[in-house]
Parts: sequence; structure tokens; C-alpha cells
Amino acid sequence: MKLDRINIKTGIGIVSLILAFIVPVILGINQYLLTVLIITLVFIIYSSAWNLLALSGQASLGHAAFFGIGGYVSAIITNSLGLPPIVAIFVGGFFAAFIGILIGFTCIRMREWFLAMVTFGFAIIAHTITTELPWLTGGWDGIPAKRLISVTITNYIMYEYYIMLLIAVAVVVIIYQLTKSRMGLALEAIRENELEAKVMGINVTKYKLMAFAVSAFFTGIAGALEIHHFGYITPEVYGMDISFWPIIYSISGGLFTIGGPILGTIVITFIWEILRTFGLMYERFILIGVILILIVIFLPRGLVSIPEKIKRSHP
Amino acid sequence: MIMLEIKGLNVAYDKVQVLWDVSFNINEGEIVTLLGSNGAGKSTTVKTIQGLLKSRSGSIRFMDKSIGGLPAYKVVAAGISLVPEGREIFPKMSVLENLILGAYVPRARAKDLRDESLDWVFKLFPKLEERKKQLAGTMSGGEQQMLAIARALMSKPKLLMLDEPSLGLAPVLVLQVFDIIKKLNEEGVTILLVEQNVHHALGLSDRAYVLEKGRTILEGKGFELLSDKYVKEAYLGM
Ligand SMILES: Nc1ncnc2c1ncn2[C@@H]1O[C@H](COP(=O)(O)OP(=O)(O)OP(=O)(O)O)[C@@H](O)[C@H]1O
Ligand SMILES: [Mg+2]
Repeated sequence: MKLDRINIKTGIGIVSLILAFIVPVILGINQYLLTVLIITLVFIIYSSAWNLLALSGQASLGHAAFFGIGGYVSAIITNSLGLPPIVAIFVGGFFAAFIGILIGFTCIRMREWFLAMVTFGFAIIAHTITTELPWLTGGWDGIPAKRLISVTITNYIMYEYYIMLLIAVAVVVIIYQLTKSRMGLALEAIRENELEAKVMGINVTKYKLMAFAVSAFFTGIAGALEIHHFGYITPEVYGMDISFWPIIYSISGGLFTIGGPILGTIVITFIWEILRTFGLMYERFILIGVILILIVIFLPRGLVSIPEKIKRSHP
Repeated sequence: MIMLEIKGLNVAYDKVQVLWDVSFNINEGEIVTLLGSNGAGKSTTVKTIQGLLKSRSGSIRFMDKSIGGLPAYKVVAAGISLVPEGREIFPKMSVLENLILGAYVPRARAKDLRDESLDWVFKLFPKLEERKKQLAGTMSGGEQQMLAIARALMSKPKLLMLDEPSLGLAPVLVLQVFDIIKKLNEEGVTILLVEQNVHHALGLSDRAYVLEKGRTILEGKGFELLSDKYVKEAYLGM
């Protein structure tokens, strides 16, 4: 029984992946649709990264900090050193990871709410520092960022889409492998019972920091990808909403799972966009709120648990 | 041969000192019991040995190496395993996953070694093999205690420390736990037992120490302490 459940999920995964690859072919180069898909991919990377940290029992409320740091570092070095964005995003990721380790150190002995507050405060600090350094960051106005693919190239949006898709697939595969590795087992043990994890001989400090580093790394890459898509970066990348989206996506899709952040990002983003095309600019906040509450009440393990739910009600 | 040697151990929680100059030792192959009333510092002692707490001063030597101040994961790797007070397990993981986590240290993690250890603990606790796939948190209290012991064994410890393993168990299960401890000892595992169940514990032990208000006040052979006037008055209510 467990086997065919896995098969259903793998099947859905493979079909969606094929769909993702042929979307531009079947629907044509639709600028609007591809833009939405690109942002969806960015947030799939971001939410998966946030979820990896959550897996270790560390719920960050300030991940926008890493998102923004990755973005700013990447923008600044492409502008000043002339590095191509596709290389610079990794530098942005490494820088975010480095800061992530420092934040991780301050959080090592903190539990739940304290850790949440530290990360939350950290996003505010990152925002303040950025606005206070106009010579480097452009202050409140931000700075331009080189496009991932130059807009002068025909169908640049399609190339951008495929690059994002490849990176997103790679990130998800890496995170999947990590959760299946000894590290994943250790993180899960730490989340369930930290004292016990220590007694088992797990180096808790090391794994918590690793979770922070890897999570911040991919979050930084996601931030860099987004701003190289938009072509500019402003301190808005540190916004509270940017910190909360990955949490919303992960919880609605299924916390601590691989499919959860992916499914949550896709479903919520599409509902969000559909509401917008109906002209519901502000009402959609309320509707999304209602949807989230319904999911949490009726599907506490998220959208990924739907197949199991159906199976249980129709055995 | 002395396996574990504790000398002049002083431990404090923040400013409150709870262990004062605690010294004792355990020889290879022995069962040693640590007795003491509530709050005497028994759990503090085993946690400090395991590396979960830092001592202010004093030395802890294990197999001729100083392990004082080492983090817990290094102490486990050195061959000491703790079954903490109150059946701490990973409730949302299966029994098998719990056991696999028990074999996390490099010394025990190789696949063939791990399978060997699994065979071993399943032989000791046949119930766990039947319940392999069950979520640990859904097992009965007694089963959880068995799992906690089995899991500690998965790291193939040379010294196993058990912090009140019989607490809250039905009399039949208490006997079973002490049987297992005896069996383990016969298989070569040295045991440090923290117990309030004085009769059983002392009957089983080679030697025992009595801890009072954070100090070691008595030492003796297990059966000798059973007839000791102080122990009789303080723990057996005679
Ligand atoms: N985390 C802590 N912070 C402060 N004081 C503590 C802490 N843990 C234990 N203590 C204190 O240290 C003393 C020794 O506690 P310990 O748990 O070692 O006793 P014990 O002998 O194991 O008792 P019991 O038989 O009730 O388990 C007690 O006075 C206790 O209140
Ligand atoms: Mg205790």
C-alpha cells in the first residue's frame, strides 16, 4: 500500500515536470504566463529552502534577509565586476550562506519563539543596513541588476524560464537527497527531541548550522534569480511578506515534505493570479487567508496529503 | 580494571551548585548502582558523564582517557550510552527509525554492524520486532522504555547508563527490565544504574554508591548496603 502511494506521487511529479518543460511549446511564448511561472519557480526554490531549515526544528520568520542579501550581493557584483548573472547568483548564495551560519550561531540554543524573533529582527536589520548604505545599495531607490538573459535576445523570456526551471529542479533534487541522507535523519531527530538527538551521538550544533547554511544558500540564489529577472532590486525584497510567503506555501503544501513547498507555491500562486485577473486586488488577501485557514483545519498535513485522505475514505 | 573514574566532580546549574566533590569509579564488567533520594543529583551525575552538562571542576576518565568537557556526541562515540530518565524517544518516528538513530555514531553505523545490532536487540526485546513499523509514540509506556533501552544498545556501548529505567512500570515489567540488565551485563556490557527501586537494584549490583544532597556519602557491595543501617532507614523504610 505504501508502494503505490509513492508511485502516485512520483507519477504526479514526473507528469508535472514534463508539463513544465513543454509549457512554452504548447502555449507559445506568452510573456505574462512565463513571468508568473518564473516567479513560481523562484518561490519553489525559496520555499523548499525555508522548509529544509524548518525540518531541523528551526522556523525562521526572517528569511527575506537571505533572499535580499543574495539579491543585493549578486546585483552589486554583476554591476561592479561585470560578472555574468548566472555566476553571480552563486556568489550571492554563498554570501547568504555565510551570514546564515552567523545567524545560526546566535540561534543554536534558542527554541521556537526566540529563534523566530531573532530571525524576524534580522530581516529588519538587513533592511536598515541596506537603506543606510546608498553608495553601495542605492538606498531606498535600489539599484539596477543585469537581466539573466538580455532582453534584446528574441524569446529571452523563454530562455530565462528554462534556466529557472533547471535550477529549481537541481535545488529540489539536492534538497531531496539531503533529507534522505544521514543529515536528514539527524535534522528530523533534532526537531523531535534535541536532548535525545544529543544522546544518540548526533552533533547537534554542526547539523543545525549546516541546515542554516544550506537553507540560506538556496534562499540567496532564489533572491538573486528574482532580481535578475526583474532587472532591479530595492529594499522591498526584505519585506515581511517576502518572509511569510515561503511559510504559507510550505504549510499549505505540506510541512517537512519535498512536494509540499512545491505544490503549495504552485497552487497558492495560481489562485493569487486568477483572483487578480478577476480584478480582486485587495479582496484576494482575504480569500487567500480563508483558503489557508481551511487547509490548516481540514488538511493539517497540507495539500500533499490529499491522495492519502482520498485513499482512506475509499479503501 | 577501572573503566570509568570520576574524581572531585563539581556541577552547578547557573549559580546553584548541585554536585559537590563527587567521586566514584566503575570497573569493567560491573553493575554499579547510584542510589539517592529525589533531587540528590543522580540525573545530574549521569548527564555530566554523558557530556550533556559541563562540570565546574573535577575529572572524568573513561578507559584511560579524559572525557570531561567533551560534547555528548564524542562521549557516545567513545562508548558510553545513556537511557535518560522518563523514556525519551522520538515519538513521531517508527520503532525501526528510533533504533537506526541509536546506531548513529561512526562506530556502529555500518550497514552490516547495524543489522547485527538489530538482531541482537530484537532477540532481547522480541516485542520490538513485531512493532518495528509502529510509531514509537503510540506504544505503551513499558514498550517505550524497552525501546529506549534497545536504542541505547544500538550504539554498542561499553558502558550503559540507565536513569531510573523501572520508573512507572508495572511490577512484572520491572522484573523484566532488571532481567534484561542482568543479561546485558553477562554479555559484557558494564552498567551504571540509577535506581530508586533499592531492593531490586542492590540485589543485582556488584557495588553501589549513595548520593545525598550532591555528595557521595556511602559506598559498598550491593548486598552489604542492603543491610546497611542508613540505607535501611532512608530507602527501605525499616
Ligand atoms: N535544569 C536545571 N536547572 C536548575 N536546577 C536543576 C536543573 N535540573 C536539576 N536541577 C536541580 O538539581 C538538583 C539535582 O537534580 P537531579 O535531577 O540530578 O536529581 P535526581 O537525583 O536525579 O532526582 P530524581 O530522583 O527526582 O530524578 C535538584 O535540586 C534539582 O532541582
Ligand atoms: Mg533523576
